[in-house]
Amino acid sequence: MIFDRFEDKLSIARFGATLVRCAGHLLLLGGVTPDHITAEDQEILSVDITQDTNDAARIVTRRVVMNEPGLRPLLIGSSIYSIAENLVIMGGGAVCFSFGTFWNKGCFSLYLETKLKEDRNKRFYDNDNEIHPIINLGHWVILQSIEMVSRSASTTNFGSNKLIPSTKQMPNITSIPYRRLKSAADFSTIVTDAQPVILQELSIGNCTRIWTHDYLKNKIGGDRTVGTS
Amino acid sequence: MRAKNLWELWSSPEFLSSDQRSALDNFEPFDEWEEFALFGSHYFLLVASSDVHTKATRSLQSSLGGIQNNSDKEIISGRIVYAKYDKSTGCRRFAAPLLIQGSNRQRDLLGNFAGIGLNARVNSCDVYTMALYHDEICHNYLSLPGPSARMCHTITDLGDAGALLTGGRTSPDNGLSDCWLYHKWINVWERVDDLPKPRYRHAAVGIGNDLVVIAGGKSCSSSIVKGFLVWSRRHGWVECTAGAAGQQPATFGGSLTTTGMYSSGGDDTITGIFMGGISRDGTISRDIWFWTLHGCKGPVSSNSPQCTTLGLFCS
Repeated sequence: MIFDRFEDKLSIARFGATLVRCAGHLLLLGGVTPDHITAEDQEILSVDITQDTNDAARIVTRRVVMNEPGLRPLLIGSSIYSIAENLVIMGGGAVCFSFGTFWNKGCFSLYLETKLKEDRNKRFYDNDNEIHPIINLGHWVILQSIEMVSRSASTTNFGSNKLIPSTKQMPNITSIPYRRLKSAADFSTIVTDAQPVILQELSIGNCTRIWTHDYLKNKIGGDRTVGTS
Repeated sequence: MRAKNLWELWSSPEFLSSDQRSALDNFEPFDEWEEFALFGSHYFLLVASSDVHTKATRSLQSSLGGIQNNSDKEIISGRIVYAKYDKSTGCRRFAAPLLIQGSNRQRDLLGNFAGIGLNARVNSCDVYTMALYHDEICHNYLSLPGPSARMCHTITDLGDAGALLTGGRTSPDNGLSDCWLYHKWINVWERVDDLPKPRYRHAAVGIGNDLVVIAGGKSCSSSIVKGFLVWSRRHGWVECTAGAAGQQPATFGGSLTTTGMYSSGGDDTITGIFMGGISRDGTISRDIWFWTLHGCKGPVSSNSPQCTTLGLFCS
């Protein structure tokens, strides 16, 4: 084994940092540095490691500075992934004692500009023959959240493959009867039976006759907004 | 007059010994280190004295100035955009990225799997797409059986061979050993070899589509797992032997990556680095380890992969 003492002025040995390759760079994001909060301009570093055959190594870091200094994700517990030359930062947040919990309330997409210079001359024409610069900065957005669910009967059946859970039985379909109420006693029977029933031709008041569009507009107010959630 | 912030005092031998720090793990399973550092860095202890020769003031070094930076020469500029979440979908921490099949076979969607949400640990998955495309998810669910709710796990993409999820934890005292391979084309989780010991807050890196190397981590609140493991289809989990001097990293929350790959004499060798993390004495390690992995030919090789740590770089 070869031991070599290297004076660490780079603060790249951190706790909870993410090392990821993107667009030809090895990037170090976030992480706790010993002794103090990681400075803002040290949050994202590009790390160059060269190791020659004599096992000597050299590490050089460069600061990565974003064009939008106001957009700054809290790099604790976030998932960082390099995809299609972009870096996507998802989730993340922290319980800041005495200050409450802070969640990143959106996702961030990063693109390193060293490549942008090469792309500046590329253009594409849209349908109106207008020129637009190629946008390599992917703008990632959240689509939805999905759950873990047992496969239903309608999807591919892999037979005896023990990895796939056995297909479920289709549920039985029970018909619900329609009834016309003839008397109060009739109703009591239905209640006692405690089975689902559809009651037809019930009198439910004037509303069936009165509630026209104009009537409702009049009563409720034409420009009252109704929220649905 | 001298000042030190509380996070710095935590690792200062004048205030706490290594044994005292690690003894705290026996009182309470604790795994909120980033928050602890954040909190401690907001408060400081200041000692002022009118006598400049007082021993007490001399022992405290001022460190509020921040770290020296030797990389002012070149700056890489970047662009960043933000896409706001709708309500609280998307709010999760200590999850792991997972590629999900989209309706367009040419383009995968990006998922953020499991982790801890607003209230509890979950095994749901947030799915992301590029705004430019009106993508849809191929399946609207992840199929069971699959990994249970967890955090501090890793997921390593192995291309079309799948994505390997390893370990994680529920409470800090309950590390998990189960590992799953996610097959995105058929939306199936395949349970593969268990880790020899539970691991969370470990680091993982993929090598091609065949191997996953993991390093460090904790198995429970008072126990750090030493050393490296390599997973392959053919051999399952193989423990890496330490180099000649027997030293290897023993931290959790460190960073791991590969730096190169070369062949010589029919043998594939892969190099990489592992750095940082918190060691057994509760302080952040300033070591940068250079590691070398020999004998990796994935499924074709009949030899078990070996791993030797080659160099130790310290501050």
